[in-house]
Amino acid sequence: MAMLLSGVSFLISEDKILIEFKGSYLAYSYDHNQIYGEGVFFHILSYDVTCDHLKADIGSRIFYAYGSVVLIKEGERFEGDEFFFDPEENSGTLIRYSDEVGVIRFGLEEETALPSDVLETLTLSKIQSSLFYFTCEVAQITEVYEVLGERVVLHLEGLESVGFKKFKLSSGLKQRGSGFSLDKIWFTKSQGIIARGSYLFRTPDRVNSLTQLNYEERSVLKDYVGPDRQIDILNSTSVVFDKNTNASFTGNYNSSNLWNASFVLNRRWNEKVTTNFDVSYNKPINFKGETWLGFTSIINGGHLGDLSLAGRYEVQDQVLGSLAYGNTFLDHFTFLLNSTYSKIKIVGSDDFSEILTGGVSLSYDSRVFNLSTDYYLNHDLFGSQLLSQPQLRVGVNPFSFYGGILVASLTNIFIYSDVKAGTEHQNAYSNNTIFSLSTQPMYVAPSFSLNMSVAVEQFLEKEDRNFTSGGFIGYATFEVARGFFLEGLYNVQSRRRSRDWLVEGTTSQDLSALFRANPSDKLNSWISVSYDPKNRQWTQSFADISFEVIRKWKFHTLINYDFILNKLNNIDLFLVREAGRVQLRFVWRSLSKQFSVELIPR
Amino acid sequence: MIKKAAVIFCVASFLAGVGCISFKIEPLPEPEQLVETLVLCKRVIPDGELLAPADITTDFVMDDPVVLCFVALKNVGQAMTLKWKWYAPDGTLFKETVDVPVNESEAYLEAVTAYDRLDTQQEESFEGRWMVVILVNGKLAGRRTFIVR
Repeated sequence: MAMLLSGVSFLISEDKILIEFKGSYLAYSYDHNQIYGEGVFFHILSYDVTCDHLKADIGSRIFYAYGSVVLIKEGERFEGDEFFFDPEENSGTLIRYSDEVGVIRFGLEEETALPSDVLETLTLSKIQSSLFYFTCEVAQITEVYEVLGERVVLHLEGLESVGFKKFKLSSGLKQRGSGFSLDKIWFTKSQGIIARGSYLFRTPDRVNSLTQLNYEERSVLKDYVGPDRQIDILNSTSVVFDKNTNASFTGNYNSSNLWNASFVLNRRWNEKVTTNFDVSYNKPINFKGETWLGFTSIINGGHLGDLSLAGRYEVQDQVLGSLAYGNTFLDHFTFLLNSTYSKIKIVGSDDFSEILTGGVSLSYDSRVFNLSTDYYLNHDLFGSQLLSQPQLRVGVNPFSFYGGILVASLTNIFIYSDVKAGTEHQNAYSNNTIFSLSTQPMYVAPSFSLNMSVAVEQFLEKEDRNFTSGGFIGYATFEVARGFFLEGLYNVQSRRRSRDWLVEGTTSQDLSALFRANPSDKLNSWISVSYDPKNRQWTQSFADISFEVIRKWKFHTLINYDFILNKLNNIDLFLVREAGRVQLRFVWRSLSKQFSVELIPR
Repeated sequence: MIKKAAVIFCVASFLAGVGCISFKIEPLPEPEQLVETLVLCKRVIPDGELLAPADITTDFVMDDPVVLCFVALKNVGQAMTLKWKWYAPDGTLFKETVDVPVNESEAYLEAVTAYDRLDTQQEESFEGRWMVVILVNGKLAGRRTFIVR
């Protein structure tokens, strides 16, 4: 069983405080990353601001004060009913509802539209029903939108818990500032001690660099065979030079002597042309490293079509190249052309495989039918093999009749292949025809409906491995009571192979019944059982049962029973607490016989 | 031995991360947010001794005879007044109610529901983006925006 020793995340570096709120009551929901306050005081734009209520959605950066809002600065006093403010931009909009809507803007040069989002769904009840929420007298928002609190009380599932003099309320958020972070330390009986740390360096709108370190110490494990420890270092850096140019670097080193690195430079020349250049090095375990240089260019030619060019060269003389062109004309015609060339070293030898492929396709698509011709070429220059394969595809688009109750479609594909290998020459052809007919749901009674579909396929080829297959699916559903359904599914599939006088084949049948219950959000379950009429035996049963145990806690189980082996194949049990941006799950899995507690970011 | 050291290190890390734990934080006064629900709807229906909104929307058409602004208050222990103000798309005050007294006897009421209506079947054109605000004891307690097409 996995044992969590510690799951802390904290920044060692100090972030600047963007704004500080003091209130008679302040509550922060970790689940939703939102603040609600009453009797609040704060300072912005050199004004002291007081208000009856405060709502802040940290994720979307919306700050909204309302109810008797007063802004005071030496000799200046403004009163209003609402105040929207942006502590980062140092601006705000004060609104007063009297005989007309009066608006005063602070720090905003242009006459912006009246803010409309008053965080309707952010309510005190929502905050108080969070899995984790904190109440405090002082809350601070840092410049990277972390939330700090002073004289904090943690409320766990509504119950007042421990208090803290100062606490990072939003600990574990994705938003973080530059600096080192020790993300996790775990111990498991199977993996040993695991430590994860990271270092973030960023400058606004220009550089973003994250280095992660994963460390596993296995020497503490009994009977462990393998290296005592493993270290992984990963770096991902992006740099924005200007609005048309940016670059990125990724690097990964593993103590088992595996590492790779790549650098990509992206350049947008104009509205239609974009190019990226890349250099990469990859060192797999036990193999020689490879260094590749490459480029990709995309040209958007509008009505002239789109062209893509790519080329890569490896210093040991390996080459990859590709070209693709596509265009749509006269509304219904589409033309596609592509070609690739590869010269790649064969693993374990000094030889190279060298392959040239090409394809061209012209298709016509109308309301009634579609027609497509393709030509595919594969030339193995090393093995002196040439495959050319023209193809013709004709289909009738699905059409409905009998007042839309029946829908039919028909498709035919003809493929011809020609292979030249040295002096050898072979050809082959095949034809595949598929017809399908299905019905829309037919209501025999207001609570009872039927659905059926049949399909037939015939495959013919030069080698005479011909077959014909067909299938039928029937589906019925009956609503027993509101939200409770009884469903039945029958399907039969048959495949017949004919060669001269011999006809052979297989037939399979399946009959399934399913009971579904979803009368409300609190109950959503189904249970099914399958029967094989041909062999006259029960086969499988599945169940997916989910219901709300108590407020926001859901029980969920997945069960599979095999009647043929007469055993319970699998049963998974989940107890889930939906908590806004995280989900807390207690899980037991029968296959691994493991119980785990998971806190999953959403 | 190494496991014990790991446990001590983890606990120390946790305490360093979360700051000083104190178990003597004075409880904050109970919050007073009275407005539990503030929605726009087309009709209200009985819900026991109270009312409940039905056909909740912020998108109305001229054929809708009324726009209702429904409010539900909770934990009302004092006398108070409610007032609705309706603002036309041009930002002018179109209609306001008088101060409606609530709970004059100052009994404890677990919930209070009330609504005001904007009658769209008048001669003026009502098309545009409207606003309605609700004041509790003369102070803004909520605002909603809606569209009439």
